[in-house]
Amino acid sequence: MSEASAHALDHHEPVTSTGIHNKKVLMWAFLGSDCMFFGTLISTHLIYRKISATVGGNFLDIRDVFDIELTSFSTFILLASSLFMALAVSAIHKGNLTSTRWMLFGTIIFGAIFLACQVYEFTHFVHAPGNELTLSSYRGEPHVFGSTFYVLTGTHGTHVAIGVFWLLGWLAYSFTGKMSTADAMDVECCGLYWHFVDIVWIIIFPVIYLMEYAF
Amino acid sequence: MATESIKYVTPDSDTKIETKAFPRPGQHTKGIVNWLTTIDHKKIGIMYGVAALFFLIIGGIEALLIRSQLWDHNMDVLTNRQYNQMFTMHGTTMVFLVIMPLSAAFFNFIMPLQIGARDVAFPRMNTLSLWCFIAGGITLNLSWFFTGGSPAIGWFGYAPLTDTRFAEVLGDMGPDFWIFSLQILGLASLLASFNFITTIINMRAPGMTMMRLPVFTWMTLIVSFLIILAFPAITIALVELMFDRTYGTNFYDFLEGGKPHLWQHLFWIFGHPEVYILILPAMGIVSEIIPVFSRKPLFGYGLIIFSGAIIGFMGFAVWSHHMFTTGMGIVATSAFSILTMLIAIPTGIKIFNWIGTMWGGRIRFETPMLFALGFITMFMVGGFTGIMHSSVPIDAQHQDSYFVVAHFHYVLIGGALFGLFAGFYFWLPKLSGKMLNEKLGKFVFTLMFIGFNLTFFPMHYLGMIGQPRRTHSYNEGHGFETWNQIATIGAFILGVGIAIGVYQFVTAAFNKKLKPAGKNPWDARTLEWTLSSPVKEYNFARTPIIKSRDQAWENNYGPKENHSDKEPLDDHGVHMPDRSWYPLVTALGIFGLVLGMLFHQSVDLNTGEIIRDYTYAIAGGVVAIIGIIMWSIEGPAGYHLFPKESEE
Amino acid sequence: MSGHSEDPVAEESKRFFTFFNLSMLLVAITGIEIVIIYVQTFDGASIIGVLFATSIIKFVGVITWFMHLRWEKILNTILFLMGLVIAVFTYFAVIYMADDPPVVEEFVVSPLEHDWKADEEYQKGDYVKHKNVFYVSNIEQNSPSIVPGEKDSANSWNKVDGIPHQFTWKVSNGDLIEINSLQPGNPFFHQYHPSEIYNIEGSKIALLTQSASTDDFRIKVRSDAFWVENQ
Repeated sequence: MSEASAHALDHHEPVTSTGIHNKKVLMWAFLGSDCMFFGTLISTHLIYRKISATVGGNFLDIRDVFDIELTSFSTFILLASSLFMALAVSAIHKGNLTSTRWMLFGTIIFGAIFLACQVYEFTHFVHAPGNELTLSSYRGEPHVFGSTFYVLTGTHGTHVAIGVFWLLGWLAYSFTGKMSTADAMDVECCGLYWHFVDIVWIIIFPVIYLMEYAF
Repeated sequence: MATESIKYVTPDSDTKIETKAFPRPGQHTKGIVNWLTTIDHKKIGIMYGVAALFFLIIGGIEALLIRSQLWDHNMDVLTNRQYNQMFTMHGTTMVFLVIMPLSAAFFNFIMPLQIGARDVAFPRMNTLSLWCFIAGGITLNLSWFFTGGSPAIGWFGYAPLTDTRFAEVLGDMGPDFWIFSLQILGLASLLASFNFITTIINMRAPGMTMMRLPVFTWMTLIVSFLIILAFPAITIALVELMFDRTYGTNFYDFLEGGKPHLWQHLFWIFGHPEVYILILPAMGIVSEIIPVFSRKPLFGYGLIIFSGAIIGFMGFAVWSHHMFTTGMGIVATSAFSILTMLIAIPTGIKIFNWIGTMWGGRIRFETPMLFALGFITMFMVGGFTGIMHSSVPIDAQHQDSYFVVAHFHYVLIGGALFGLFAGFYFWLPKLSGKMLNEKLGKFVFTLMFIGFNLTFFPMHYLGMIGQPRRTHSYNEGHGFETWNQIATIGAFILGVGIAIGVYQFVTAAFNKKLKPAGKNPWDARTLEWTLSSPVKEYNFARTPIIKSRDQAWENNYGPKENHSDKEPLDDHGVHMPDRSWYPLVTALGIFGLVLGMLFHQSVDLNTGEIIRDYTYAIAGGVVAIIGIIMWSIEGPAGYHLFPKESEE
Repeated sequence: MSGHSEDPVAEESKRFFTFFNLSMLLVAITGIEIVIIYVQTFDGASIIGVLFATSIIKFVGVITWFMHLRWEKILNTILFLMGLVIAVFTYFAVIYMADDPPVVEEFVVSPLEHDWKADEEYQKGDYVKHKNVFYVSNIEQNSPSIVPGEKDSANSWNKVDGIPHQFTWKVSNGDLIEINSLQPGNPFFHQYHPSEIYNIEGSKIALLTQSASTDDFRIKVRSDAFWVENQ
């Protein structure tokens, strides 16, 4: 039985060979592919995190520039946004438009806060007095940590930003009066994307930030 | 078009929001607008094919320039830099602008017909893929006209040569064009692959189980998975390279702590699955042709598919065999050597199965079969030299010599190109409705076979006596001249053969002297051969209900319980979607974004500082975003057709 | 695995509590991760192990419940896992193969020119210089120690040919270390496989023909893909 058959009253069952909507198959295939994306970036970071051209070994301590309180805060924010997203999908399946709107709004707000924290963190790191972490240097010495860190978290942030735009589109659409349970599948696909962005952060947070405090 | 017998009904009103700007062109769109806005997989396939054949000629000219330069010792046909540009552009063009799009052309045209679908799962995304491919081809070739000319870094762009630090020409933009064109081409391939995966999994006709799919469709599925899993690696590698060149990061800059070796890893993590992406479609085509021209079902259908899947999966485990001479250490080198040897096994299984198909059959040696047999034999030669490379000490001798050039041209021309040409001769009758000139086809095959072997067989020897690859000239006294001259003559013969073949393909639809094809001129086996030639706009007048593999053959020769049924047409008739402007708009926006990024830097002549102006990039991005937004709200629209059951 | 009741609203309402509980669990686990880092009582390797485990738990939690994989056809899981598994294996291999170039953190060579003093204690193996001749102590000697070179000092002191030098080195990682002299007239060669390939420390005392210092020697360290020297 396909998931959509439960909503047979509201919208037609997908007439597909597997009973799964085309868009959902597309989204899951895309997320599988996105794993390779982030795998490349994360492994590049793990290879390079300690490497500096002029100073070897463990001498440059990145903990001096990291702000774990801020990053922990943004982690919790993203987790919360994930909850809102799941509830938004749930609400549109039930046909509850008001709830959907509020949940979408919550997801957007928390996603935007996360992005703001990232932007703040980046500017903070680049200008940290005595501990400047730029794309190519740390404390003025050539170092690769900045390159991998900014490109990896920047890519993740771009994914979040795209998600926020997508959600804004849904929020706007929900006010046109044309949104209904027929759109539940599309909102669910948006939800899949948002949750994926969250689980990438679940990997990034320990591997990039917390790991520096262990090794 | 034959629309007299088809009733037209006003569009359904289940559109969401109708757009006043660029409304969806309807049923009676004609001319260039029809081709620009089409979302029909058949037209998209044709455009892929025509563009790819055009790039084949360009890449071929680049190759002939290389061969001319190597005619004799110390020639001056090309300067050093021009020579480097030639082999870079030849390689990049042939891989990304010829073989992959030719495969995409066949996937697009044939696969939906083989599974009984009306179109792919996401028709507009299909169009976007096409226009992104065109944009990528243009971007790559724009490089000729700007500072530094075309990239001279090899089709694999090894760091640190790609660093701005080592630019031969100050401000060389060649590598930047290369990076961005590969990114757009990657996007095109990714979008197309997601489309094909969803289509094959989800849009098969009733009764078309996975194990009844034609082998070509299976290969489409496997190749699409390879693409979506391999391209992310090169996308990120290229992003990192772009950041190195433009923003001064240290990913591959060894003086600042980066590892050029990482580029090699990331490139080949993509690059090795890429070569399976190049060869599996041709293997799929050959798996269709051999049974037809042996009048026997494919031997070991399940094994061939399983082998294809294994080759694809294991293709991710062997990438470092391109890096045997880079000093990775004993453990890594041995592991990859063993895995590379293992991957020969499924390939061998396929070859035995093709031979098994022919064994005891009634073989007809028409042009498609000649190319298919050429594929098997030539690919085997390339495979043998490939297995030689898998031994690390032997590879240390082969690396960077002409022996490798011989190997990969045997598998790519003798394999992929012959297979694709076989596909052209096989399926063009279906596409154009006309039978191609058989005598001319045989002549093309003869020229290509002789020319190809004359060109590349001597390269095995040249490599073993020491001629290095990618080297602009050789001195006297090595004994290279004779075989190089034979190779160059062979190259020109091959070029003539290809040119005649391309001429045949491109004129197939217009040539009035060709005989009409009818539905099934080859007495072939798979579902597309139950349709008329050329295929009607709506593909199937009635959705078929599949009862067996090789449905067309079973319909003609099999017992009654294996014949396909047809679903009756309901009141709605056949729903045909309207065309759409937005994929083209989005692709233009992406193209503008890329051009904007390519040209955003300038240097303040007074201070020497870099000025970054993203205006054009942002403008392109905005157009793309508007394109996507309008695309999502323009609504399905469409019209209905009511073809008679016999009008397939 | 998608048994749906007739009432989609009730179905979704049940899931509300699942989502909420999972959310609280994720927050709690994240909190634990942060506390572990702050507390810092465990050593690096086990912290990494714990972080790895908690990440997996959170990852699986989100994909199974938030992303509905639990309630849907297996095809979706397969599509996703294909990418995930290939990514994990490939990049594990890449990280394994990304070698650390060795770093010579310390390399010092200095001659041991301690003059013998009567009121000093000496251990077995100590080197002293007395009247321009070098001796090594055989036994533990308390003060006052025997004068080296005297007739009855053979039990305590052995004359040595050459000038003792102290070599000390500290290297980040490597599997082969080689030290040799750069002066043809002052030969020295030492090569060994360190028992620990990370954080290598070593020292050696050797007799040389002439007095020499750090600049006259070269240390080479080998790892999987690199040879690193100090000059």
